[in-house]
Amino acid sequence: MWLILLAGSLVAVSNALLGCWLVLRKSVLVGDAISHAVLPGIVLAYWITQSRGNTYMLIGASIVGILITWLIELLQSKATMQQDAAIGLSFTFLFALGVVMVAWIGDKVDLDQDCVLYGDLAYIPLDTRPLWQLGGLFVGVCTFLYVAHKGLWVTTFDATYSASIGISTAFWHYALMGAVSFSTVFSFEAVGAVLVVAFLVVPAATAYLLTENLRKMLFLSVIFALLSVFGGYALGVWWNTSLAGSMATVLGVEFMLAFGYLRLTNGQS
Amino acid sequence: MLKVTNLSIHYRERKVLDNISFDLPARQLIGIIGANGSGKTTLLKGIMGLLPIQAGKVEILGESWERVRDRLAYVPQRNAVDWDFPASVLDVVLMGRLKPRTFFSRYTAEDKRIAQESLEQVQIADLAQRQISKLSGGQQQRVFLARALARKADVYLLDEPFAAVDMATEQTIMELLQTMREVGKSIAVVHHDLNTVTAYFDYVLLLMPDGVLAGKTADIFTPTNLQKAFGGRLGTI
Repeated sequence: MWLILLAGSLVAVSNALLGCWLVLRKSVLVGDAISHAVLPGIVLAYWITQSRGNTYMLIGASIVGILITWLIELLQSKATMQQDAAIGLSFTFLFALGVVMVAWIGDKVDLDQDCVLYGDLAYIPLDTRPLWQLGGLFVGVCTFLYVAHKGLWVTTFDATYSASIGISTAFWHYALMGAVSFSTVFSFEAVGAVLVVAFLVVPAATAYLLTENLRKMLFLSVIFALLSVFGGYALGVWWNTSLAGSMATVLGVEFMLAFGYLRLTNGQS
Repeated sequence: MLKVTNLSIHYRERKVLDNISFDLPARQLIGIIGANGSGKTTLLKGIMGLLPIQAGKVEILGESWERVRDRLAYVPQRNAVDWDFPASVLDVVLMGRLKPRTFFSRYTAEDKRIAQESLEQVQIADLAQRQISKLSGGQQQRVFLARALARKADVYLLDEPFAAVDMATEQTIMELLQTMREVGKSIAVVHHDLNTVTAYFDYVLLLMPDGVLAGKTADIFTPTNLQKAFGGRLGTI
């Protein structure tokens, strides 16, 4: 049980912290797109190496993640598409490609569609290798965000000004998206390609509702992420259902409670 | 101070600025005037190297902008950023102390002192710790100006600093810009209120449909020129 909670917490906190920056940059959908688009990369890596959880798979999928970030930028600037259209086009195509590939080679490798979509935390005690990966992810994300804090904040708040003093906004954009790619791929085995989005978006969005201080926002997002892991675990065991699914459900409930709290307190003042 | 030679900036198919040249003097308060869509903001961004330029050359203080970047301070339009961003006034003003070379080091005590001093200059020292989402439009503009002041630059380029701010803020900013000119700073301001041009600026850069005019305010800011620059859109002055 504790191993599952530890794995869930590592996934939730890493993604929640990165998600704060996606929410602030209004690029949450790019995170969504990346999490889906890495699927063909993952499937291809499974197919080539015939094994799960190896470094090549992680690197290969992360490259696909950065590739889609670049593709979205390209469609926006060269094909003059709107951002939402560019995102929709790129990720549905890549995700669909991944789904088709799973069906096509699924019987040759140990990889089924349920696992890809929903992940499975419940297997963690049987095979603790992913735990090391997730630990590495957590340390990596924290280190990255500590080092990149200033760069992310100035380019997110005022990109034009940052460029005017000689700070590359593109560099920080791709650094963040690269980190999101890594995080999505690392988390994929535990919570699946779809539910990782919930961890990227919901804790950050809930925290953003409640505070106007960046450090408090990061802190609160971690609290909400942890609450959802523990609450979701209890719920999942009680209902005998997908753990990642019940964790994401708890996240949704947290957001609604925060929103309701905000409406109530605003109504009083 | 600012010399532009045969500058062309195109946005997709549209020639926003087409082959313009001018030379602006140092230590002056310069107004950049033109109709909506005449390319005032584009010109500032082009000068700062923020947009690709199709042709031409920009020299600031006799050098290319890359070499004098740390001596320039750019104040973007206030509405270009999201003021709901979770940050304090001091956070924003401290951005003025950032330079690419020392980007990863922490702010020094000197940086913090200069930031506080800049806030005093725009008369909002008491707001240093306030969240920027709680500011009025005039206060937001003062914060942006304080950030530029914190750079301790020689050349200041301001994009519409008086757009939708209260009279008190406009006066404070204007007096500050005049003080800055007295101590030798060069200041160019994109400005839209034709009624105050003569009172505010020593020198005017007028963007016309077929080129630009630059010169002393009294020489350039004439009804004939304005009629050409603004066409039928010009009201009575």
